[in-house]
Amino acid sequence: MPGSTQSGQEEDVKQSLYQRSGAAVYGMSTAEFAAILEEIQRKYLPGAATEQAAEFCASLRLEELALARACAAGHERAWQDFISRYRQKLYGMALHLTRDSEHASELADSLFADLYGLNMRSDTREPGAEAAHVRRSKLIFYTGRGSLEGWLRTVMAQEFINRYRKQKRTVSLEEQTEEGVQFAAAAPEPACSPDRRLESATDQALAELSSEDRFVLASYYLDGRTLAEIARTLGLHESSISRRLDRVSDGLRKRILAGLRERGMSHAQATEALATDVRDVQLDLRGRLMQDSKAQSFSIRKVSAKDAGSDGNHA
Amino acid sequence: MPEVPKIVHDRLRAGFPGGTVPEASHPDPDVLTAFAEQALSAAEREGVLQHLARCGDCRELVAFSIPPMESGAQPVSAEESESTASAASHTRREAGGRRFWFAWPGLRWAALAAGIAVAGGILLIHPGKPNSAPEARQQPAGTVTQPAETIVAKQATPAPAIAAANHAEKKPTPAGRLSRRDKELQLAYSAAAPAANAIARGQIEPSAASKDAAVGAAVGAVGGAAPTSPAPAPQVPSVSEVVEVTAASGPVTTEEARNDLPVTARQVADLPLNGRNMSELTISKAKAAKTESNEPSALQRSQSLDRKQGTMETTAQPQRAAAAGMTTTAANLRPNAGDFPQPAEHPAQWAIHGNDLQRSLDSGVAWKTVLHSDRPLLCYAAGGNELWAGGKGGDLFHSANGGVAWNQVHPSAQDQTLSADVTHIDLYSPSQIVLFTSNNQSWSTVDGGKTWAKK
Repeated sequence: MPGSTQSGQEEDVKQSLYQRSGAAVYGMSTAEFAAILEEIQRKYLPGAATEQAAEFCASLRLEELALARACAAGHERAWQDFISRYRQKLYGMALHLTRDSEHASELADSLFADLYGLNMRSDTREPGAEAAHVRRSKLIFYTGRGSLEGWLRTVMAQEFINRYRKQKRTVSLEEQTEEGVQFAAAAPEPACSPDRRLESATDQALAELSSEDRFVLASYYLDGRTLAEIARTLGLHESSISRRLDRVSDGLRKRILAGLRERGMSHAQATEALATDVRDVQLDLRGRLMQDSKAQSFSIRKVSAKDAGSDGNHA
Repeated sequence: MPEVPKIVHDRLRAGFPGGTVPEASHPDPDVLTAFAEQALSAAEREGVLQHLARCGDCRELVAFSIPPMESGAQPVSAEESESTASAASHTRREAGGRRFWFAWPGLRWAALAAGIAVAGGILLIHPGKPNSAPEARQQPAGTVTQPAETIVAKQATPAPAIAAANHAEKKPTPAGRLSRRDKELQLAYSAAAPAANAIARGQIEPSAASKDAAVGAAVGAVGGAAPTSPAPAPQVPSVSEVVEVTAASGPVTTEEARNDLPVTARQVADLPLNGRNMSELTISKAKAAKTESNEPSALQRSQSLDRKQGTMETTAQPQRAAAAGMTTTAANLRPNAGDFPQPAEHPAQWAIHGNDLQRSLDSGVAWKTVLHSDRPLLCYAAGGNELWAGGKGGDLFHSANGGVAWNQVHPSAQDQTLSADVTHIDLYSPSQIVLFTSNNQSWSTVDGGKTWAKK
């Protein structure tokens, strides 16, 4: 790497980063730690200038990074530190996610196994030096961009979502078999929209928003997140999210209407198009097709399909 | 919240322009963590936001990986060490720049407790106001806030305080719930003092907060006890004002603990306010109400108020009007002398400190002892130039000239002399006075203290 050539100054920087990290406690050498930093920097800031790179490295959670990597390398003291710092927290996080102590320990244990590397090799219970290259701890992926605790939380959430999704898939498959697959499969496919103009006007209006606004919209309307949750994700205050939602949804509506008029609709047409739910139209079509055979069961189905479709509306 | 057209949902769900996201481009957990911790550079953050805006999976991950909102929301079954750990994690996060995660729960509790306490205080002031009729001119508006709290503690007499306290955890109980369990007064009071202090110090912890809330509601209920018809809670001033009000009452409540029984009376007495008179009147009313039904006394009082006192409009609903009036007053005034609008004249204020009764002529800046007793004084009542002070062992002092000259009065009736602690004094007029004692006697005179009747 040209950006990482050795000059005296660069050595100083490396040394000070190394000092800050406290990696020495875990028997990590300056060179080893520098290699880790370089790897991270290559990942996130490829080809960055030296100064920029130094700044980037200084912004990392060096101490937590050293701990995580030392754990990954199987350093015993690091593991002790890690366990004493995060063990309880991990179980707390798991409990928070699962709301059930049994599943919580299961989740936390499985994450611990990943962190320790047990899931890679089952025969390396001793964190000895020679075992280190055999097993592969998940901690090796921690790069110190955010806090180690936050990273653990995210990794655990990922694991939780994976499990949850698996479960959900199993359940819904069962349900599908019970209910008949054709209905379950009818879920979201807005493909046959009656008028493409509405779609494109909406896309255009959405594209004109800032990505943060789109994130807020999606979180609120699609995912049903609360204002408070969105606010915390963005580091803003709840009230500013609320105001923003007001502003954005208002502007969006106007923008779509304008877009529809640009696409040749009259004002009344545009208003009507916007007020019509595409899915309602589809359902009606579907309904007309189905009516002959199963009029009654369909009407029930229609209601539930509508409910499912509008889930995202509820905060 | 505003609705957006359904097409927007559809397009958002479809990942709008550009369709679904390629699997490989998901930000890694590190970046998502840094994103949620606001640790990314602007450019990186923008990239993540663009991805998140169209990737429901990653949004879900971010949402799940955000720590619980408040420590109170931590799983109940988590051990204590866990809660410590989470506290520590909060701290760390705080350092990471997301201060509000931790700050909000506390504030919320504080605001709730303070809001309730103030609502209660206002309700209390309101019934108290009538009683202060004789000296209404004298009361600097600013001092009103303090008696409010005092009354609270003192008025623990009617049991409704407790009833309300039981409900308080759920929400501020509307004043006016009445039930009579006098014994529990003390309990309510003892809860009230620490709570007030906690509020004053601003150190409200979630665990303590429910207690505070209870106390606040108790206060409200007590205040509402006098007017039988549940007084609609007056609008509470905004939180910051509220806090000031309650904070002012903090020191007051700390002082009283010395006395055994007459805690409440004493506490009132300790207030360097001439508003105290009204609080005492209120109390006596409350006590009187104990024996009979609350309603008549309350009604009488409010009527007499209206008659005597020109400050409140005599509307069909004097209570409400008064409450509203007080709200604004309380909100505008700060109890500390010096930083709140001073009334044009400086009426005398009175306070008991141990064995001394002190007077301030400058709204509490300077205090001068006007009466020294051999035994601790417990209460006083002031109206115009009329001053009465009561203390331990039946001590009773009277001054008819604003505290310049004092006479000790030894009430006796039916061969019995007043010897119990005088816990408070109601001054209805220069000639009509009622004392209450620690052994639940009440002594009254209608001739300015020459002859007394005991009940």
